[in-house]
Amino acid sequence: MKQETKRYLIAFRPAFVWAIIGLALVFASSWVFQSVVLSSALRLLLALLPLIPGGLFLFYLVKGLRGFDELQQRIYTETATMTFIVTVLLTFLFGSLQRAGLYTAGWDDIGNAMMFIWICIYLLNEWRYR
Amino acid sequence: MKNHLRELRAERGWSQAVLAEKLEVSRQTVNAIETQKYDPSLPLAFKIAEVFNMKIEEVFTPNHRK
Repeated sequence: MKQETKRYLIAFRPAFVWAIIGLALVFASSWVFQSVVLSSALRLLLALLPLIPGGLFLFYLVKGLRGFDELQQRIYTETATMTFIVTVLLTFLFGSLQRAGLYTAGWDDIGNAMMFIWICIYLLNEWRYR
Repeated sequence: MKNHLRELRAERGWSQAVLAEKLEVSRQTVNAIETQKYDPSLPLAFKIAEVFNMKIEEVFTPNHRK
């Protein structure tokens, strides 16, 4: 494995761990909502619980990024900005399609689309500076 | 901005990885500067000049100047 790839993996390891915990909590809470009858307060608590690993994921992601050099930071900043804009445009598109009665997007679709767009734009920006 | 990074590095027999280590940046960053796909920040440009023991204007020249 390349030295730089290793460095990336080490820097982002805590962020990956919290992302996995967060996703596991989202799936677990979805299962609980469908399988167990809970009070409103408990349902609210369970729905908000993934925010804790989500916040820690963000914290360690930013911490990892700050340890990178200026070109790598630029690549990530450009990727984040472009992903944000493309996702906003996509959200408007989903809205138009929904109003036209052609497609109804779920909340998860936006998140999944954003992750896919992020990966595509990141690879494009990495390639630009190779 | 033009630079003479590749020539200066070759003169000293350093690989991109060695220069990257001296500058505390990634090898990708050294390569991007050498191929002029990326202009370094002023602090990094000064650090590059320092590593080569030269003045900043001896390493970097503006595009309009020959």
